[in-house]
Formats: sequence, structure tokens, C-alpha cells
Amino acid sequence: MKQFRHIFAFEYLSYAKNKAFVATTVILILVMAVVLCFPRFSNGDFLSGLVGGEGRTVAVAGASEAESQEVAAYLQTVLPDDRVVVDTADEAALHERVLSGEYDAVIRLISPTQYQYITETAAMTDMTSMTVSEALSARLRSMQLRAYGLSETQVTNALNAAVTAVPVTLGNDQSQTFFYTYILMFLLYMAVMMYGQLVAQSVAVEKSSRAMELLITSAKPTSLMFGKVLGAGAAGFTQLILLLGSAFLLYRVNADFWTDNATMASIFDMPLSILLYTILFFVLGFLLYAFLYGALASLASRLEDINTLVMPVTFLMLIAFLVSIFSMLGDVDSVLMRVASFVPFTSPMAMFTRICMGSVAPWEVVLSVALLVGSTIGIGYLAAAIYRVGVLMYGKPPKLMALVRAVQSDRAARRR
Amino acid sequence: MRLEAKNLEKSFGEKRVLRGVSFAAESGRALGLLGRNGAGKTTSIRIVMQVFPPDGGEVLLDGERLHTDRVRIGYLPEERGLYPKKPIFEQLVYFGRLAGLSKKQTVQNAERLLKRLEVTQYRDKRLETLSKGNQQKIQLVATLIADPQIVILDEPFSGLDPVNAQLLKDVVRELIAGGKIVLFSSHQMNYIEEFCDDIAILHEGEIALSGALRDIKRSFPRNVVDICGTDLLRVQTALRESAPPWLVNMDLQDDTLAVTLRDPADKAALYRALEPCADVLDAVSVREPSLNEIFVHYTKGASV
Repeated sequence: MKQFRHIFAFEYLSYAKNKAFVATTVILILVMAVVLCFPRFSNGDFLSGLVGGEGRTVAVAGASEAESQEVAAYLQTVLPDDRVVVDTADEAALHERVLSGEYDAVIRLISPTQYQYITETAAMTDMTSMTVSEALSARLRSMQLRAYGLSETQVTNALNAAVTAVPVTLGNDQSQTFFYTYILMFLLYMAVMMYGQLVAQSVAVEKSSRAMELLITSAKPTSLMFGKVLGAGAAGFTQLILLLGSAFLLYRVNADFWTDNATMASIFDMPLSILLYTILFFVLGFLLYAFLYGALASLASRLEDINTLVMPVTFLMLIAFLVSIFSMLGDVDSVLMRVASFVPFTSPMAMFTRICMGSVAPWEVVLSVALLVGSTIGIGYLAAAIYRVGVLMYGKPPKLMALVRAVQSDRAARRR
Repeated sequence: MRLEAKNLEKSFGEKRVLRGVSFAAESGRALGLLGRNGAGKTTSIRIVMQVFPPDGGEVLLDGERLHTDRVRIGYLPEERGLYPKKPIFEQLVYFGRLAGLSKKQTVQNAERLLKRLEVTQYRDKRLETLSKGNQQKIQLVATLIADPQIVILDEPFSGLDPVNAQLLKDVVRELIAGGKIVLFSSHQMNYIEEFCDDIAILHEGEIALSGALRDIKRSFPRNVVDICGTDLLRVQTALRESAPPWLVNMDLQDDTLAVTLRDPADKAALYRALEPCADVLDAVSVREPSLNEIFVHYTKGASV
């Protein structure tokens, strides 16, 4: 236990003193500070600037000059940020002008029910054609209704009649939970992967520098394994707390400037319970994966071998991440997700997603966490057993069966 | 104190690495563990340090089972290894603390040893910035940091220049004089011969020979006599002409005439036969086998 404390402290401090580790933390906090303080220094409309390009030129080409003028004037009212002009040149000339950059887009009216939307590249985020279609449809409908003999008021009333829904949500409102779940999931994935790799790295460095020769004779492998994993975990946790803490602080300081932003509000107004679940699943998920990373890295004789060795674990985590992320777009309580939220390797992410966005019974959460805790402890001891044997194996990493036999015979000799 | 390994057995998979290895080392005496590559030296050492348990046999200290958490063992691994990128003092303190020393004690020991080995000026440098010889010295400091009762040195002299080798020799002598149990593992015979009172030769997982080095040397046939002198040709001719029955062979090389006798007891007859040439003789001595010869004698044949 005493040894564990020294190893833990040594590992923790070597991260805290590591320049790259400190620099990453500082840079991330600075980036967050810049983003979160941005509205304070811009005049509040920077988001619109990010979403749509301002000051585009859109040309309208109708059959006649008069029709074009009328449509252009009408469209200008629905596209206030753009400049709508009239150009009745032929199709080829219009293409030419779009390609030369004179116009960003051309609306070429073909018939009352059809128009061409001509751009150089069809951008995914370009909503202009939808706005134009809607506006022209409304214009068409109102013209037709007037042709049937309705008065101007009747037409306006008919076209403006609308039905609205009043949402009554009994469980989670996914539109509210989506963003923070997404961000936390991503954070969870990145953090577990990054700190897991750090554990792998530190094990392999000790082995390849042969510091292991001395360590293994002065400390118990179990202390070494647990000290290492928990040391890296504590360092990672410190970093996360610093990041999340400064994010909340910066948001609070700038809260007045973010009032109109529903996305930001939904992220920072997450319930406390979710934050606690984040911490719980981070801790358990990290430990589970870090033990695996540590055990596999102990088989590597050279630093270059780690990547190949830890690949299966990285894939496992990637699968857990992808399953959860994709289910967020569909049904988070699907059969796949139900299963995944109990399997220890996927449960940190799957159960977390379901808690945030789905409907989970309390017993499900308890069972999932209990299974996760149990298997984390089990994997921890298994990892220490592999580590004990692995660190003394030099040369090519052993095959799975050879490893199993080595661990078994080591345990048999130990029981004697 | 007496450290004893009894009938150690160890297999890795199909391979039997140790087949009943026994040896013993005592305080104030150094034991040399000799063997060719793959003979089982490192495995034996690791079992003594309880890195892994033996499949059979046991390690005793003063007749009781050795517990590494009660006795401090200092180990200089053959594959030298410390953290290349960490400051030296920091990692020395870490290893001292792992061995169970208090912070104050560790710092004191580290400072004393760094001074003794003349590397104090590097204490805050990163290990990788030091020359190989100095890295070796730091490694030795790490070995001795916890003031261990048992010191295990695996190939301690490899890679040292003569000045540093001398320094290390002095330190080893101090250890032996200080009543430590010193276990040497090496295949550099001259160093073993210099320090070790007892040896154990490992060959293919078995002890081929063990005991006090002096007794072992005496147990070898003492039937070769080396004769040094100013006119050895005259001696050789005189012996050849008298052709006594106990003379088996003569070999003149450089300044020494090696005479092989039929039996060690025949040396009295040889001395009498040399009498006429006494005026040209400088020295006549029974040849003792070098450790090297003993080693080769016992470890010839296939090994891995």
C-alpha cells in the first residue's frame, strides 16, 4: 500500500510536471476562453456571420423584363441579406456570369411552377433555393386564389392559417439534451482514449528503457499497475476538472452575452445529476480501458509495438462510441443500446447516452454500474497478472495462447 | 547472514531453465555466479529477488524463508535501466522510497553515494545527457540507495573504463568489508577471481561446480610445474637426456617451461633432477588452474 502511494505520486507528478501535458491544458483553456468570451467583444451577430455568407448577389432571369423586375423585388424582401438584381440574358450568358463570379446564384424562371437555381458549387448549407421556392410558391398560390375570385384579405387569411403544436414531454427532451450529451460523449471518448494511451506509453517506456528491471525488483506488479493507472487517471481527472471548471466559469462570466443562444444555454444548463454521471462513467470507463492498455503495453518490447498491440482495445472503444453516437440520431433505447448499456466495455458510453437522452429505469443504471465496477476490478487484477509476466518478456510480443499459458503457469507457481 | 538457494526449479513453457540449482552466499564474502549465456543466472537472481516464484525449491536467509519486504536487496541489472528522461536525483529518491526508506534517509543516502562515486554534479541532469560510464555509476547509486543487506551485481564491470572500473572495485571491496552479502554474476573471470571467495558455475540449468574458489583450484590435478629461468633450453636438454619415467611432457613457451608429471607426487623427483641446473633457475612452481580454465572445463559442450 505504501509502495502504491509512492508509485501513484510519482506517476501523477510526472504528468503534472510534463511540459506537453501542461501546455495542452493551458492551450485548451485559452481556446475555450476565446470562444466563450467572443460575444462580449463582437456585437452579437457573429453567429449569423458564421452560418450564412452575407452580401451575395442573386440574379433573377424571367421571360420578360417586367416579370423579372416584379419577382426580384418580391424576393429581395425574403432575402434581406442578399442583393437581388435582374438580368434577362440567355442561359449560356448567365452560366458564364455565375462561373466568372459576377453572380453567386441565378434564379432562372422557366414556367410558373419551375425555376432553375444556378450556382457554381452546390453548398450543403445553402438554404437560398428553399427560401426562394417557398416564396415563389406562396406567390403562385396567392395569384391562383385571386384568380378564383377571392379578395386580397381572404387570400392572406387562407395563406397565413397555421396550426402549432404545444409540446408536452414526459421524459427527456432530446432537443435539449442532444448537444451536451454529444459534447460529453465526445469528451468521454477522447479522454479515455488519450489517458489510456498515456498509460500504455508510460508502461512501454519503462520496459524499453529497462527501468522495469529495477522497478519489478523493488515493487509488486499489482502496486505498479494500479499506481500507474490511477496516477494517470488522477492526472487526467485534474485536467478535465480544470477544463470543465473554467468552461463553466467563463460561461457564467459571459452569460449575459449568450442569452439568445439556445444551443449554448442547453449545454451549460445541464442538470447536476448528468455532470455526476459524467464523472462516474469517466472514472469507470477510464479505469477499465487503462488497465487493458497497460496490460497490452507490457507485452511490447519497443515503443513502436504499442500501437499494434493496443489496436483491438482502441477498436472496442471506437465501436462503443459509434454505436452510442448513431443511436443518438435514432432510438437511444433500441435493443442494441439496451444490450450495449450492460456490456462493461460499451456501457460507460451506452448507458450514459441512455441516461441523458432515453428513458432508463433506476435498476438498469444500478445493474449496469455494478457490472462495470465488478469487471473493472476483475480486469484490474487480470491486467496486473499479464503485466507481471509481460514485462519480463523481451523480443516479439507473445501470441495470445502463449500468453495465457505463461500467466497460468505463473499463477500456479505462485500458489505453491 | 547466510543466503541459500536450495534446489531451485523453474520452467518457462516447455523449457526447463533451472534443474535443481543450489548455492549459498555469506556476509562478508562474495559469491560469483558464473555461467554462459542462457545458463540460468538471471533466472536464479530473479527467483532470489522474488520477481517470480520457483516451480520447486526455496530461498532461505539464515535458515528461514527469505522475505523481500523484510530484507533489502540492491540489484544492478545486466540490462541497465533507469528513466532516461527524468532528473537523476528525482528517480534515485523514487527508488529509495519504493524500497521503504524515509524521505530524509533516502536523500542522505543519495547524496552520500553520488559523492562517493564522484557524480554529484549531475544530480539534477536528465540521465540521458550523461556519458555511458557516468550512467553506469548512477545505476550503481540506484542499486545501493536503500543501503541493502544483500547486493546482487549482474555484469557490473561491462562498459566501464579502467578508472571507473577501479572505482567500482573499491566500492565492491567496501561492500564486502561492510559485511554485505554480495552476489556477482559475470563471465569476466578475472573480476570474479579478484573478488569472489566462493563460486557457483551454472551450466544448462544445473550447478556444474560450486564451493570455495581456493579449494576448487586445489582440487584440480597439480601435475604441471612451471619453471622460469635464464637458460631454459639447458634445463630442457638436461631433463630430456636423463629421460626419467615420471616425465610426461615438456613445453617451452616464452620464459616458462611447463613440465607435465605423471603424478603430482613426482615433483620431489623433478626438484632433484633440476639440481644441476639450479644456477639458471629463477622460480619453480606448481601451476594452479585459472578460473577461466576451470570455467571452460565445466561448461564445454552445447549450450544455448
